[in-house]
Formats: sequence, C-alpha cells, structure tokens
Amino acid sequence: MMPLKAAAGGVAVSVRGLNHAYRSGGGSLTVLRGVNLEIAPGAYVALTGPSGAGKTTLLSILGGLEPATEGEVKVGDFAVNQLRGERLAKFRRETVGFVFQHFGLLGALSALENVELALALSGSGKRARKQRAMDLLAAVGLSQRAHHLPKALSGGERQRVAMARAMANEPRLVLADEPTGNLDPDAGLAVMELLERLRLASGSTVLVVSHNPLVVGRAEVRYRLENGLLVQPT
Amino acid sequence: MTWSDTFTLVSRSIRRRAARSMLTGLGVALGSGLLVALVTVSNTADTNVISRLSHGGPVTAIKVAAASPQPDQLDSDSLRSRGIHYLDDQAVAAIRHSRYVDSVVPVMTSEVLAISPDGDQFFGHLIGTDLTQLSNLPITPLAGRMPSPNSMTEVAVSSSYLDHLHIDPSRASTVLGIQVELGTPRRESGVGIGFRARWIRVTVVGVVAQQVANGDFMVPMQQTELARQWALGGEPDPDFPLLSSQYTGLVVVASSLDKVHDVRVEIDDLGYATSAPEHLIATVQHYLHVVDIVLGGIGIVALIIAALSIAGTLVTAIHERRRDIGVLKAIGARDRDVLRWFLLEALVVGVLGGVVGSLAGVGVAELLGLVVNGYLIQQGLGGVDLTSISGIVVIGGVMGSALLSLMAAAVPALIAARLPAREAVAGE
Repeated sequence: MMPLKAAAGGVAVSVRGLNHAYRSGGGSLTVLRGVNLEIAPGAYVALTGPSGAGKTTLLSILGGLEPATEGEVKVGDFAVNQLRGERLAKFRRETVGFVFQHFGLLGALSALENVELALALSGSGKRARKQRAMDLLAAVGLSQRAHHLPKALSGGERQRVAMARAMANEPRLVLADEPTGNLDPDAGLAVMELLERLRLASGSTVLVVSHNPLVVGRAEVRYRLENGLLVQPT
Repeated sequence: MTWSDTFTLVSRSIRRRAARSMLTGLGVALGSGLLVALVTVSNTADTNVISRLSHGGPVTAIKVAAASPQPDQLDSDSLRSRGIHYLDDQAVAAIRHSRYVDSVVPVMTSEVLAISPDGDQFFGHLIGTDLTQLSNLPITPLAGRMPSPNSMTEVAVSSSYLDHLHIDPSRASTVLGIQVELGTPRRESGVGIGFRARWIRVTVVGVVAQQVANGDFMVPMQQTELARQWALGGEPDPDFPLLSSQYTGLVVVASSLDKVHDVRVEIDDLGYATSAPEHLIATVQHYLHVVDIVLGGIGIVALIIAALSIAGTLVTAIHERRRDIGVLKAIGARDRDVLRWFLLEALVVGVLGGVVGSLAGVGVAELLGLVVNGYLIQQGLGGVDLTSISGIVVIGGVMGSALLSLMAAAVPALIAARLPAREAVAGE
C-alpha cells in the first residue's frame, strides 16, 4: 500500500442544544433531544446506541445532509445549520468525507471513476484527478481493481473504494456510518485498520457510528445515544 | 462537475441500463420516425400533386391569349374569349410591370405541313418561344433534350406528334434523330395549285409533354417569326385567315399561388383572356390541407406517447437512483449537477432515438411512395413521386426529438435535483 500525502489536519466539532424531529403522520417524531457534543480536532470518536436512537441522524446533521430542527452545529468555522445551496455543497465537498454502510458507490462507474467523481466535483483537472485517484486506490490496496465495477468487488473491497473516495478531497472531518455493518468480521477489521491508518496519515477528525463493540472499542472517545439523548463519554 | 464529466456519467448510466434505455430510445424513434415519414409524404404529396395539375411547369403559370376576355373569364380556369385582341411588346411590358409577375414569356404559333421520312404527312403547328426560359414554361421532357435556343435545324416534338404517328409515349425515344420536312404554305394565285411553301428540314432532338400552346413542334421563336413573315407575305385566304398579332400567346408566371388571381385580374383589366388552374389548385389544396391536418394529428399523438415514455423512464430512474442522488450530493454535487445529469441522459436518448427514427421514417416514406406509385401506375393514373427526401425534415426530426426529450425530462430532472442529500442514508 502506498502512503497518503499529509492533509490539512482535523477540525473541531461543536454541537449545542441540538433538537431534531421528523414529521410523522399528523404529528412529529423527536429523534434528538438537547444534544451537546464537543469533539477535539483530530479526535477519533465512536457513537453507539440501539437502532433508532438517532445516531445516523446526528451524523447527517453534522455532515450537512439535513438541517437540524433547532440548535447550533459548528464544524470548524462553519455554522452548518446556516449553510445553504452552493456553500453547503462546497462544505460537503471540501470539509467532510462520508463512508456509508451501503458503500454508496455508483454502480455504473468503475472503482477508479467513483473516486474520480469526488475529485471532479471539486473541479480537479482530468489528469491530476486520475493520478490522485490511482494513488488513493493504491493506498487502500486496490490499484489492481481500479477498473472493476462495484458489482465485481467484494464487500470489503467496496468499502475500501468508498474510503478512498471519502479521503479524495482531504476532508478535515470523516463521518462513517456503520462502516462494517455489511462486512464479515475479518473484512470489518481490515476496514477499521485502514480507516485508522488513513486518519493517522491525514490527521482528520473521525466520527464512527456503530453498534459493533469491536469498532467502538478502538475509538479514543465513545458516546452513546439513547432515545435521542447523548450520554456522557465513557 | 463539467459537461464532459456529466457525459461520462450519462454514458455509463445508459450502458448499465442498456435494455431500458434502448426501449425508451425506440419509443422516441417510433414517434419521430412516424412524424418524419408523415411529413415527408405529406410535403411531397402537396408539392407533386399540385405540380401535376400544372403539367410540370410552374404552378403559378397563367396562359394569356391574343383575345379579349368574356365578362365571366375570372370565374373560370379555362380560356373564355370573345374576339381578337393583338398581343405585342407593349402588352408584354404592361403585364411585366405588375409587381406580382415573375416572368412573361411570349409564344408564337404557325401552321405547317409536316412530312416524316416514311412519307406520312399532316398539318400541324410550330410553337415558337424563348427556349432559354424553360423553367418558366409548362414543359416536361419525356425523351432527348430541348433544341438549342438559337438553332434553326432542331425541334422537340410534342405528344400530339406521337399521336399523329400512332407511337406510344413510352416509346418516345424512337423518334429521336429522325428528320422531318416542314412547309409553311401561303396563297399565291400565280402558281400551279395556288399555294407555295417555305420548306425547312429539321432534326427531332427531344420529345416533350407541354401546355404552352396547341402544336406539334417546339422551336426557337426566330423559326416561327420567319414562318409567319413568309405566310403573311402571301395573298389573303378566306379559308386560312392569318392572325397578324405579334404574339399568339404569353405564359405569365405569378410570384406565388395566392397572387395568381390578382395577376389574372390585372391582365383581364388590360383586355386579354387568360387561363390558369387556380380554382382547381385551390380546391385540391383544401383537400391536401385536410390530409395534412389528419397526418399531423397522428404524428403529434406519436410524439406525446414518446414524451410520456421518456418521462416515465426518468421517473422510474429517479426512484431507483434516489440513493445515488443522495450520495452524489453527500460528496458535494450541487442541484444543477444532478439536473444536468438527468437532462443530458434524456437528451442523449432523445438524439439517438431521433437519428434512428428519422432514418427509419425516411425508409418508411420511400416504401410508402413505392407502394402508392405502383398502385397509381397499375390503375393507369400516372405515377406521383411521394418521396422527395428533405434534409430539413430529417434534421428537424432529430432536433425535434432532442427538444421533446428535454421537455419531457424537465419536470423529472427538477424533482431529482431537489431530492434531499439525506437520501444517501435513507433507510439505514
């Protein structure tokens, strides 16, 4: 595996008085209740809790995928809840890297093209982004699989491609939603080791959502969400 | 994301769902193909049917006679004359002065005795006119060529000459190259039988169907001028009165079909009788417009079906790709990147469908033309070419399909562009 070049380092995350509810039927379903959270730059944080506790929702709000109903969400200098349109897209593109349980690879594109897509969205030139994408795939040990479609890759390989894509724009915050949820234990372990190695190389802040004790146990700081309430770090 | 990147994404998406994309493209192809075929047949039918009514010449041609018109002349397509009214250069200049007249071609006829090589003889007529203005005359070449404009030894014979010799028009070329003796008679009481003739020998270089004037031999104007000067030099003959008018007729071409009547009115005001198939053409045009409306309606229904096909496919695609759209936005795509993705995908399918459909439409039109033409000939009605392929129609078919695809895709693409980014994690 090739080493990654140094990134801009991690970013601090600050959440204060976060409430979030979804409309459901005629009423509303409260998912997050007065969440306060502080994450130091470069920290490796795990968020655990039962299904439906609001883990993925909190992750989505931090990454700008959906606006919070109420509260203050800051990622570095960005007041995420106030970002809209082009500024929000730029925030997702340049500050955050997502890793999904379902991998989130576009099935029509090869592994290389999936990684290139993130670079294309940030305006990188064709030659430069191809080289960068190949370097990233080499860093996750998939340079030989660069031209394969996702359906031709194993679950572990797909998640490694997704990680390469997440790291493409040197994000200062990596948000991973159940990254090992669809993988067998060995593949899950390999993915987590890769994530930690990438984090060490880039200095990014990492927040992993998981209810896998082996994943949670590797984090420096651990939080638990229960019924929308964030329990103190353990 | 650049257009080039979007195009790559589109081409991969189409390739991944090749069967569905092909079916959608075929829907577009069906619509555009049907429309191109209908427009091609409709356009060429309009043009060529009207052209047949004008006997191969300009559809706006008006024949003017050296005669005064009857009061009801303008109500009739046929010549309705009452008495001689000489046609001269002054009359030609007056008609040419009209702003709705494109050209005026004088015509002069002269009676001749014709003797063919095998000794057959009959009285016929020379038709002299300006052979440099063939495009302004109702003449259709059947075989060979027209005489050179200044030749005094070449003629083109008309269908009536073939009738005299009992030759079927399908064998018109058999008369090419034969030599004919033409004699213009005039009364001279001092000679044997009281007549003398001016003889010329001419070669038949072409055969034509023509409606310029009643006659058998088309020649340059100089030839008939010499013949008429010879005839007028004789003694008056009560059995064969000679018209001393400078011209026996004119072929006037109006600037457009809807100006034919105005030009006829102006010529009528000058005191000349006219004929033109204006009422017949107007009636046929009305029927052709009805056919156009029916064919256009069928084509529009086909296009609506194609548009619904594109919209339906895209709505399904959006439903299937909700998560892909969410992921794209999660990694930084803007609404306009997603909008461009879906619009470009519809455009590519539309253009491909349009190209296939337009080419197929031309093929169908060709086939229809052959079948209809074969039927008409079988019925003895004479063929009509229905398949003059217009490049504009083909290009219009492709561009129309592209435009239609974009219009059909607009709403689904907007829906896709506005899907929230949280679709990336929905259901997880």
